[in-house]
Amino acid sequence: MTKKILLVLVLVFSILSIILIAVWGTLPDQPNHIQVESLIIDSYDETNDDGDKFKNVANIVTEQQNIYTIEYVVNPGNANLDIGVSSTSTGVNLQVDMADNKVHVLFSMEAIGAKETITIQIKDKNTQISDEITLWFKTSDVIIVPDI
Amino acid sequence: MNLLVMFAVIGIAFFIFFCSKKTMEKDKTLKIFSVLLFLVYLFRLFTTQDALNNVFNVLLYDIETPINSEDTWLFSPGMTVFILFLRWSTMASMLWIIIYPFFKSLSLKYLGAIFGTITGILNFIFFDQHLIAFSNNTDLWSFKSIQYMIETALFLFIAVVLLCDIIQKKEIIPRKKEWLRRLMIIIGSFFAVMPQTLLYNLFGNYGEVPDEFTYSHLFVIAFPFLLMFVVYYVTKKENQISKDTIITYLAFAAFTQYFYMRRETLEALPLHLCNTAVLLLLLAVVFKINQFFYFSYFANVLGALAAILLPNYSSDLFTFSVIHYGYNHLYAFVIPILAVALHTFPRPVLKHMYKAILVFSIYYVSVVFLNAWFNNFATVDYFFAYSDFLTDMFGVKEIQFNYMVEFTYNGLTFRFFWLFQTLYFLIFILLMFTSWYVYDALFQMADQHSRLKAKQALIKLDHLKLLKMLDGRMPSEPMNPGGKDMIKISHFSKKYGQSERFAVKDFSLEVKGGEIFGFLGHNGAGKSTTIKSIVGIQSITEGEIEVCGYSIKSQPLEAKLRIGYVSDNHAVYEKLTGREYIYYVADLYRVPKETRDERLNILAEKLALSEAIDQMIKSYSHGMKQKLVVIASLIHEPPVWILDEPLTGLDPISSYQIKEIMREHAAKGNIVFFSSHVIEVVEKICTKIAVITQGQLTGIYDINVLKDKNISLEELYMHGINQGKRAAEYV
Amino acid sequence: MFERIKILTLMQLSNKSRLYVKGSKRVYVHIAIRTAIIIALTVIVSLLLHVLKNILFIPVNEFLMIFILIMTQGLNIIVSTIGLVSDLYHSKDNQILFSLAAKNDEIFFSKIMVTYVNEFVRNLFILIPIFVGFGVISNLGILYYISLIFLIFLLPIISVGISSFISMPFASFLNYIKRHNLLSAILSLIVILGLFYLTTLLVQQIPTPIRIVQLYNRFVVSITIAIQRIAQYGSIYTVIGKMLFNYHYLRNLLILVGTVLGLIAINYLVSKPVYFRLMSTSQENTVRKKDKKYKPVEATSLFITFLKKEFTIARRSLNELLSNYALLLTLPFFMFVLNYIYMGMNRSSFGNQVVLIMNVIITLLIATGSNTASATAITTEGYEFVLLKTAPYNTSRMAWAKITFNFVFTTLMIALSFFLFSKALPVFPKQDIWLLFLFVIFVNSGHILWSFQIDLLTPKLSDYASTGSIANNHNVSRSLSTGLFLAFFFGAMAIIAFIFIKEFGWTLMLLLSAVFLAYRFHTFNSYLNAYFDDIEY
Repeated sequence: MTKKILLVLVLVFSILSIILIAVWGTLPDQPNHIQVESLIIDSYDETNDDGDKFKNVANIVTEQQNIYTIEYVVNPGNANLDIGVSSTSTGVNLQVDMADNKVHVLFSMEAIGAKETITIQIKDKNTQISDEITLWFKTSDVIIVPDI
Repeated sequence: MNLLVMFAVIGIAFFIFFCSKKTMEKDKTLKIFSVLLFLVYLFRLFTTQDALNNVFNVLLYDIETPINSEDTWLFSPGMTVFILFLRWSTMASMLWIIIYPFFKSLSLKYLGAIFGTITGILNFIFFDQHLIAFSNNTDLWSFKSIQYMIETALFLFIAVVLLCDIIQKKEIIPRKKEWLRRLMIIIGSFFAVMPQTLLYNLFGNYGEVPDEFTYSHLFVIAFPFLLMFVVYYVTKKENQISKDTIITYLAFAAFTQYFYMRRETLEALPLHLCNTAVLLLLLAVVFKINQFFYFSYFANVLGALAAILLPNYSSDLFTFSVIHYGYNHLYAFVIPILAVALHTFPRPVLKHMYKAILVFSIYYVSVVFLNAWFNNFATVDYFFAYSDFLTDMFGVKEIQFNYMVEFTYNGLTFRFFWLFQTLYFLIFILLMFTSWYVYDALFQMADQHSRLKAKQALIKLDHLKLLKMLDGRMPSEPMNPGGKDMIKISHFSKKYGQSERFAVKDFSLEVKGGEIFGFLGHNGAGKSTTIKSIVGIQSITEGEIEVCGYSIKSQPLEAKLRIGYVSDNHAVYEKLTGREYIYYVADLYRVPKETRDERLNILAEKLALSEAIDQMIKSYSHGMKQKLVVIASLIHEPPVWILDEPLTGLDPISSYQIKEIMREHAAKGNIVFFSSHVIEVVEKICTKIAVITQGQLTGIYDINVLKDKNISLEELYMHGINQGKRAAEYV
Repeated sequence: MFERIKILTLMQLSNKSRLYVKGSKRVYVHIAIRTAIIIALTVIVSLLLHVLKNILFIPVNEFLMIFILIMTQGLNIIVSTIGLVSDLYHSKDNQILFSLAAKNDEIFFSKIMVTYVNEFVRNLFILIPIFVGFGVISNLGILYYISLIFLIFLLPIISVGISSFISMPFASFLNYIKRHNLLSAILSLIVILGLFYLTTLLVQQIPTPIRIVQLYNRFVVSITIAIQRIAQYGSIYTVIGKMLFNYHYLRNLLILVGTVLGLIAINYLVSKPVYFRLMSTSQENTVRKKDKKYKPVEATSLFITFLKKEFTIARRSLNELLSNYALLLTLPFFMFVLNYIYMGMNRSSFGNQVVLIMNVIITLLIATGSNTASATAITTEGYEFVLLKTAPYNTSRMAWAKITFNFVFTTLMIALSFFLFSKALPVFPKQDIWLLFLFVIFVNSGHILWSFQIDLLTPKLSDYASTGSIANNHNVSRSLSTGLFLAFFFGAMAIIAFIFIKEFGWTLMLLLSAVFLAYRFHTFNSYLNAYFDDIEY
């Protein structure tokens, strides 16, 4: 028996105690039945004719800074949410922060290097209400040409 | 009629008994009758469910339970109480007289004789009432009546035989100190065999359910521990026969108390762990079967403890089922532990543990099989290995019911919960091993405690010896007033630890005041050992050492007050300054402030340490530390100054300074005794020298005489060493 | 030069470990066991990474690898720095090495080499499982595994190189601090209070009421983001991570090699003028001028004499004092953080009971784990115990002085912890705080007496006198074990007291702890009177 082992035991007990109280020692949450009415991504650069939202991340996402954060607005604010996210590419990892209504898009080096265009869909699984945004690395010589 | 029968039986029994003239045969006959009595009693126990058990609330205490108490009474309240206590007394006396022939305890004989005779006679006088208490009828020629007559007759016969014996041997009036002892035996024995419905009979359904750590439950938990301690402390000074008797009595009591409840149905068979304990303990104690005993020790104790902590009854405290449960588990818990504590059985070794596991395995397999078989006929759950009692308690029912094997044979369904039963078995084995460690820790505590008691007794004895040796003088006076100015070593020997070899053997020396006495010897000769024994750092194996008339063994504090010591390893507290260290030593020797300051200044000046005296000792060189130790040893101006290799590693100036101080100190009439292995130093400074070789004194020389005779100390020393070596080789 | 460095290195290695004997069977068995351990660890790490990727959805990519490298190598650097400070500047074998015919920088490099070898072996158990695990989970190519072969050798060079470079200013700072005890104490106090303040700030970021599921989700997201962000600041480890994942491979490889060579060069250049001077001054004892008017006061009793000595020595060895009671310093942190989380949850009455029970167990574990000073109280007298044997009074009072000192110090620390805790978490019931404090003091005091008793019965005076160290002391281990037993025992009693007895729960706990203290007091006193005089050096 050494002090190091004792310290480890204390840490283990501390974590176990938190789990014990969290699982068996807390009152159940009050259920919230308020449903989502709208879920909107309101930070984007432009839209096409179909209303698809686009965001140019060429100056935001680089090799040194590979995270882009999408903020979405939920109405009403106290609605009971169950957010799911999906993307069209395997080159990103999506992390949902439901407390702050944010989705963090983590680009891999490969995706940054290949300047992949990725569409992210944010959906409430309870009501199926969703919104989408396309993130692309727009270069100066590319313009969106509207259909004639 | 019954009185006639009584006298007839007793007369026949006496005739048979006194026909066997030899004492040995009488003993044997008494044993046979005791066994017979026990068997007859067992027969009644197994075949009778007493009507008296259903008597309710005689003292009309319970006003809550909706039963008309009087409808249950067999007699008037007074008679009921009398019969209850008479039966109680019969039970206690019966066990005394059954056990006595095998253990020959005088107390048992006395109590069995007196109580047994009185109780036996009363049993015959109130014979009808007993019949009513058994089966609520008074048919004298019924089977029950005849059986009880034989039992009472046997009981009375043995009691009367014992009574005649104590009258013959004039033991009828016990000595005063025996009264308390016998009173305690009476109280203990009566408690041990208390009729389990007694409280129910008298008070009704009193008390709450002793469960879920209510106050009554806490009492039920604490009681076995208290009882164990009380029994242990009361009996630990008794002889071994008495201790064995107590354990045997408890084993019998456990057995009889257990079978107080009828056991004919399958559910009631004694196959629960603690139920088997009462059978196995009786067999173990009577026939000295170690396997059974240690199985109880490791397995039953655990089971009993679990049962006491998590009981599965639901009745009030004073009801039959709770009292029965309590007694069963009390005995299963207490008897094995007490039996080891009182040395009826030796402390377990690992071999016993393995035997216990083997017995437990056999028991467990049997129980699992019997559960599966008997559940075709009744709802049984031996050792809780079949029902969901345990899995429900721990919320793991799936483990039991999701992993099951079931098959049919001869129209009977056998169900085995293989995962649950395997886990249960393994967990119990693990708990048995855990209990091993708990027992081990407790044994260590007990051993430490008994060593402590022995040591305390030794200290008291030493003090008494000292007072005796002083013969009326004060402890502060010297043992040997004539030895005021000397060190006297008489036949001193020292052995270290368990070694057979003596580091110093039969060493005798006298050193007088005014001398610088050198102590010379090779490395490992025994110089430091001798010196350390003189100053009290080490103990003395044989012999005596007196300093200024005070024995270092019996008057250490007075002797040490007169000694200043410079060790061979000048270890000092390095985080203190020199002055702080000297003050610390001066405090230890109770030197007044003015005196210590004066002496410190003088000595520091002499040893050229004044500049460094207020610096941390950590910054001192080897020589400075040595000088500091010299100052510390002289701060209380001791009449005896002992130095162990003081000049080792010192520069010439420091050596010179210390030698000068030694001369000054001796010149004042004090003793200076120092050891060295450097002949030249010893030659120059000492007046006398003792030479030690291989732990023995090889010579004492006066330096002046040697010089006058022109004898070289070095040659003398080498000669002494060679002689010593030859002597050692010879040995 | 290289030959001398090699000889010095091998000499030190063979002194520290007997395993470096070629061809012995023991070596092969040792290697086989270690290989099996590495394989097992690799499997475990692969499984963990699989869980991270597929269950927690934390991306197992180059950023995670860089983060893990930063954490593991960062920790290695800290540990190596501490080890090197001791080995380079305070090691006893310096006296032997510097008397040999070798240059100072050669000795320096030989010591670095020894550290490198140890670091390399230790890193094998960390790096191989991590790297191979990553390779398997991320399906990396052959170039990755080839890179690993030389990376295993280069990574320890980086950590040891950085550590040895940092060790120089660190050692210099330590030497300065050693000579200014008061400054050392003040700095330590500031650091502890600062850490506590930072902890309160950090913990108060956790939103209340604490819902573990949401908190867990937030925690995972925060960790994932943090991993991505921290990886940018990994400097050389960022380069390594990108190189392994085949981004600008050649460029990153050149940077890596350049860094390694640069570290070697900088250590060589700086150590030449600095090392010997730093090493020799570390072993010197400065003589401070003392005020000659200062005179210690005569003590009125033996007890005061001993107590004075204890306080004086403690005052002058604050570092030793801190290391003895280091575990106790973590008490306010654990109490605050845990109880903040407990109080932040929406507890039922059962939850409240569990809070009390856990507080009992955890505070006792920490408090009793700090009584190792009592478990070596007589042992640490070493040869000075002879002074007590030769003194003409009942010197067992020394034991009471030591106990008083330990008791006062630990009580003050525990009181401070509880005070900080009550101020930092006002929502926790005040009555419970003070009852718990009283309870812990009783049990801890009993444990102090028990630990002392252990040392009284089996003092290791000669061991301590020869080594000056209490490392691997059996009495310390026994003291910690008894503390563990007490924590669990009183935890079990707390379950009965707070869940079953409820209203008299604290009464039962205080009663039990008081009985325990009284029993230990009586037992210790008996043992002291019986056995103290029998102790021989």
